[in-house]
Amino acid sequence: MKKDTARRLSDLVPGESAKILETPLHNERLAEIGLIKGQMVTLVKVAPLGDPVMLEVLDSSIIVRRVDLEGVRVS
Amino acid sequence: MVRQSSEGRDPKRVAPQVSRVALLGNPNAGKTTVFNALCGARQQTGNYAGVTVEKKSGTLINNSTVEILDLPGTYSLKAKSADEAITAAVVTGHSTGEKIPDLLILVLDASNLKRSLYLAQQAKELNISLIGVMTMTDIAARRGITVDQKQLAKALGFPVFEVTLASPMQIAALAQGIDKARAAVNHRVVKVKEISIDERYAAIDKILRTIVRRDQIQNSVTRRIDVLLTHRVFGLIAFSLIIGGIFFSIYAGARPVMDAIDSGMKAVGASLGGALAAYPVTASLVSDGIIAGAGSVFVFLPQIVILFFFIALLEETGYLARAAFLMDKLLGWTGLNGRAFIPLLSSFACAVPGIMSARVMPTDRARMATILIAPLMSCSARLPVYVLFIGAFIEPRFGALWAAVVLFGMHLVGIAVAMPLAWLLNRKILKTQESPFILELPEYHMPHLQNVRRRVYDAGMNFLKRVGTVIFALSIIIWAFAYFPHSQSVSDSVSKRFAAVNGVSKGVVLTTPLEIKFQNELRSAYLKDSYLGRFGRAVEPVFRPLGFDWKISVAILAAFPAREVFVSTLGIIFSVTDAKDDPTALGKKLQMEKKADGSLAYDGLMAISVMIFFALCAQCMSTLATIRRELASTAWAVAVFVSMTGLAYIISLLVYQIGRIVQS
Repeated sequence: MKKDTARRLSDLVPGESAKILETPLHNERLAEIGLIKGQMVTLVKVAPLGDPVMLEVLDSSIIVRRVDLEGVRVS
Repeated sequence: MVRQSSEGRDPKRVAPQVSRVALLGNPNAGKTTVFNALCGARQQTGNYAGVTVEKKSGTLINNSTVEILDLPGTYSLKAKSADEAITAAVVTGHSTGEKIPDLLILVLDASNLKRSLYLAQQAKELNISLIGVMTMTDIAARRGITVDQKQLAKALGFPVFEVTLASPMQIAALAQGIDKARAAVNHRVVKVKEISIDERYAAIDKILRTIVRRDQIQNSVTRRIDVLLTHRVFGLIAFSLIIGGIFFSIYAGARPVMDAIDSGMKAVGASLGGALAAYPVTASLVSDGIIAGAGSVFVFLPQIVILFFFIALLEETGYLARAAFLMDKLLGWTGLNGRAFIPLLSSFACAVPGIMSARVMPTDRARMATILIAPLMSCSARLPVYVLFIGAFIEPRFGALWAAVVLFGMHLVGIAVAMPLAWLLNRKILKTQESPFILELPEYHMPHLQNVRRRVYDAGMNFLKRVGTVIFALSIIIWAFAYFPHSQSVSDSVSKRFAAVNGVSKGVVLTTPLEIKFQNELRSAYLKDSYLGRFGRAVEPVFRPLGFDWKISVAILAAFPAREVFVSTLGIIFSVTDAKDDPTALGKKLQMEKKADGSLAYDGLMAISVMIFFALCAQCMSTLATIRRELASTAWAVAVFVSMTGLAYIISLLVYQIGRIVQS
């Protein structure tokens, strides 16, 4: 994996979109709702208190805690 | 499967076979709307065997041989939580209490079709007969998405019915479809195949390529509303206004109805009391036991109705998910899930609907943790206690401002204790696993009135049932302890003393004020001599370190069924007629109450101690009964009572003893 382009999904700035490189297996549910390799995802915004974040994937908005996004890498 | 019939000889008159149909779909896919439309009023709620996941089932509106089960929503048959596990167990035939459905109705969300089809793929592998229903086509259209439903049905290999509007025509067509599909039942359940998530989605993409058309469309309405409602500043302001508005409605809106019910019951009690005057024990049982006991809980019906109306609105419109987005961080550190917010908030009005609304929690343990701390939120039943003691001991000395501060502080006491407790429960006791908190933000939409009505009706009926059974029975028991033995000797000695003190000779008819005074003194004497009174004096030493005398102690004990009873019991004890209608009079009595040595019996410190005790104790039978029912566990209800009472005792003790050191 190219380390230079890979970033953590939770590090995107609000409004930024990226393509998913990998979703760790232990977090199966994230993949099941559409955070799969090759899928485009947008970090829409961050909650007022910094957590959770709002993502847009597969045409719908979901909210996820930062801790649950650990290991999800995007480019 | 062998079909059995009682009239098997005549094929034309075969008793209709019952078919089991289950609704399967993603959360927020519109499953409940379809279920409500299919079953109408012919539905009931219960629990799945052995677990506390709510089970909703019913029969088809025009055909009682079709049983319909509304399975908990899930994204996948590989379950991640208790309610999802139920769904997976039922459809794979592993559920202990449920038979395998004959037919699955897959709810397909047109605006979220890929995720719906992910579940559909797994369901197809089960080999149970399937039909699909398509929802949310209106929302999809607004986003520029059109689904070719004929092509989709062809690609999926089962019929798909359009039900977005849940109109009678759509539902009739679906009912026909159900009838046709249930003829061909197939019970050979196969396990869900081990196919990678990537592969499944690739397959879905392939299916949908020609079936879904997308047009570019500008920002949807939801997007525009969300810019404001989830904004870091305006979102929080809007949230405060919405919550404040709900609180105000529950409080102010319920008040007139509650008062009406209250005075209605008082009138009933008075007329019954008059009619039963010849039977004093029965009269007391009716007015002091049933009406003052079960009745004092019954008056909360309007609150329940209003609260559940708002909860249904918040849920139906899609705002609940936004509230969770805004507030999740506040609960996050304790390990509480983001959705705990609404149940806890509801508990400030009354823990009973708060606990009931914990059903929105995604996992069993998260729901349990929420239920266990909900009673610590300061409910409105504590308010009379606060107001009485603040009015009597804080306001006269420190002024109205401090009175308000203390009142607010009392509401914070519960939160301050609840949050660390939640942390302890989640991290150490229940070990709530970190189930990912993933919540889809549904499109905003107008609430389906049928769903709102059902929600409110169910909550109201549940509440009434509880009042009519458990609370009714316990009120009678408490009354009996407060009434008996009611011996003649008490009456005799009070009469004798009263006559001596007031200079009335025996046999003289008393004037009205004197008669009332006499009756009050008699009631006090009876109470003191009652089993409850004797018990109160027996346990007084236990409460003495908190600053409570036997009167406060006995009122606390009598208030076990409902906190408000504390005030009315004190009223009886201090011989104040109708304590509830005129709390200041009771407050004055409390201020002037003297010990045997002539010094004042109560002070501000004791008042704080009493209030803290009430802020933390579990003096509410309906809360405990609700916990017991919702968690299907007597042990947890007892644990809540013991630990809350223990906490109340310890913290009141600390406050009173430290306060005494500071004062001296």
